[in-house]
Amino acid sequence: MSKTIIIDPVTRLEGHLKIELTIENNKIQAAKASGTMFRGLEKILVGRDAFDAPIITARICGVCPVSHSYVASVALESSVGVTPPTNARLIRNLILSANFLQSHILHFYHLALLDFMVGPDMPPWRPTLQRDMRFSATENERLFKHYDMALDMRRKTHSMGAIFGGRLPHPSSVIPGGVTAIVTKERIDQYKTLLEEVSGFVVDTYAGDVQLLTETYPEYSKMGAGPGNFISYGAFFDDDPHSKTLFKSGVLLGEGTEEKLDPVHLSESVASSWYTNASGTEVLYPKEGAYSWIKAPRYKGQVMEAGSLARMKVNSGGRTSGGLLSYDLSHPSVLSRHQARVIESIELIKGMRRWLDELDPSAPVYRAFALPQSGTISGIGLLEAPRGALGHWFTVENNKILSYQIITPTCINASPADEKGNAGAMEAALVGSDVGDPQEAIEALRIVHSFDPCLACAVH
Amino acid sequence: MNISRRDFLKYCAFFSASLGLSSLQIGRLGEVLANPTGPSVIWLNGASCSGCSISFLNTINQSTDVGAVLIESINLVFHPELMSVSGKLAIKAILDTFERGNFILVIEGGIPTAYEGKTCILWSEPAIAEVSSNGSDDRNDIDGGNIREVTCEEAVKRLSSRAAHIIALGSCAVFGGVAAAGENPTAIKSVAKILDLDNLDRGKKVISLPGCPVHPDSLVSTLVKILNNETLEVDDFGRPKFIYGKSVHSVCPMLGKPRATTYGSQDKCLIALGCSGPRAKSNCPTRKWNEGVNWCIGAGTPCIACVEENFPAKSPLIKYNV
Repeated sequence: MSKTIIIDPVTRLEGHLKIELTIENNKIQAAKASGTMFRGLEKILVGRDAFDAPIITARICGVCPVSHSYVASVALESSVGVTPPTNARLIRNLILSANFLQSHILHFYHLALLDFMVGPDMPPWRPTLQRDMRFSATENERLFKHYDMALDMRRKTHSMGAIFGGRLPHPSSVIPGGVTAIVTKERIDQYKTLLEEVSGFVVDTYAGDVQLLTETYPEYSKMGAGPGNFISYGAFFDDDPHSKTLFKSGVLLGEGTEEKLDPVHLSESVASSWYTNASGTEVLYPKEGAYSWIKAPRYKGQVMEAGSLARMKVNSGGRTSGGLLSYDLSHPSVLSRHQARVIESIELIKGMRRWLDELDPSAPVYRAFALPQSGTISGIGLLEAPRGALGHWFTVENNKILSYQIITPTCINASPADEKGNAGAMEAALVGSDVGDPQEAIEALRIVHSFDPCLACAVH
Repeated sequence: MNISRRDFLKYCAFFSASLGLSSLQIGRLGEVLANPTGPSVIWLNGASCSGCSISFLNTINQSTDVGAVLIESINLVFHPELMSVSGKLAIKAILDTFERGNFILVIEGGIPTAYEGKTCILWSEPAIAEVSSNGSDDRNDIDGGNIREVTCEEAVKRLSSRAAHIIALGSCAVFGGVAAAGENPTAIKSVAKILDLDNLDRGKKVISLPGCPVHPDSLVSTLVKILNNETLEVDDFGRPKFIYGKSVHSVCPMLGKPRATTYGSQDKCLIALGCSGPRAKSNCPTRKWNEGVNWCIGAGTPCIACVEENFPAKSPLIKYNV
């Protein structure tokens, strides 16, 4: 006989997520992921000055505001063929990469790890599920010390971003045309000092703890697979025409060979979302069969997975190594998602050092431009956020926003079923997994958290 | 507590790290916290981006006294990003604390009222009337019983009735903020409006800490004052004057300097670029952000008055072509 279990709220993630599981003989037969908060940021943008987009869209997400400011700026610039000065590209990369490290450290230690270890006997660590906790007392104690250190480290990554961004969250200096913060030797040195400290933590501590998790929970390399299709828009522009990225773009469909990304193949279904089928954007609540504010993006009609794993797979074809680590990422799983994040962090730090060296204190950071005052202008910005593929689409007339559309990584990962009834990536990852005790479905939480869902982004 | 405050500080966990104090030792911590004394904190996340939660994690303060009061006094019983447990046990933490009363209620985000508030669901609970923490079991099993979804509006109204202090955190909770901008698609209201407070009551009943995001020190220093039973002097919006007393412009280090007419210069007044410093009351110029490394104007960006009632109504928020 099957049971239906609701977990609401799912904590240790950004925003509002409800999970409904149908469990039979301790196996998940069906899963529904519901984004339970809607703000309507796309509507809020309509009628505003187009250059407000980077500032307003940053407010979609307090964890990854930099990505939204960056993508919105790039979308505006590319619509009229403008590229920002070299320094601006480097500074944007340095603010964004600092925030990538922030996001990955926060995710592993403060959001995900408590599914595997027990914190001290006080809130917010208690109460906690204590089933299947396998670390020894010594390991558990060490991991919690690292949880504590990681609070310091993620704060320092934010300080790195703020050196050039003004502040974090919600940096102020990323604007259409470049950045507002100038390059000084003092700022470069300040950033470098913090980066080396954080780098030490990532290489010595974070990587070691992912390895310990890998050794202690080996069967999680086979749990939580998901759709097996991956999408990456490419991350961190690495030349001035914006034609190259540090982590490249690409699409992997099943066992097929890698394809070139073409955004024309992206579509959004609202079959299970609280919007009218005709418009795709107008709220319809309640709605028969709908269970989420998240829409269901698909690529060539396929359910996709986005995030570090997608980026690392697209970049390496499966095998990756960073520092002393070498992981086979060919099978998507709870563990491979954690492994991909730490490997990406190590790779990213190499890029950050190079970008710091390329900064030129005597060169400009901003190139003024204006949008044409006649006709309708449309633009697209596609770039990777910490959690995966992020796209902004807009149309503007006489500097005023006519329409604005955003598809976020968690929209891709935590989507509900589409019109063909195909479950979203996170839902698909849950189905088929064994659950030791349906009342304490820690296995399900481990799978959900491995995607690092960001619900405010997913719905916006 | 049988342990000296200094020793305690040495070993304390979450807040110690965020306050830049030294590291912890789990065994010692458990011993110390066996008899928690201070009020509990319930932190609700309404229609928000969680930026104020993330900003809170950046807390660092040179004063160990601030840390001491906070560490010894707080039980963060519910926080959607940080708490370990999900589902029913998480809700039970709220309901148990509600039964006891005398807690601090922190509300981050605006409160939607369109569609009966159902654009922001905070949790699901069994659909029996008046769920009590004593009677309800901790099971997530919903077979054989309906469940009902608790909206942010309901949660704020219910929980605020027994809260010792209510803190509206960030501009969304204080004024509606970004989610209430433009056509306000989900009819977002501020905490004060949901609780039907006029301006006079507002200052007394809800402590308002706007900012997009809030500065971590604003929250921590306010908590310290509350826990010390200090009387907070507040303005009509309920904003503590020690934080929101002077305009950014009046204490801006760029005041009186040559005016910038484009971006990418240093040490210039940004007023011609649309700086809203004159109408923004905040201590940003003296406190700065992120361990003091910078702040908006320090990075060459005009102030957008993110602490004020009408943020982000102005458009464009800053000027580009002067």
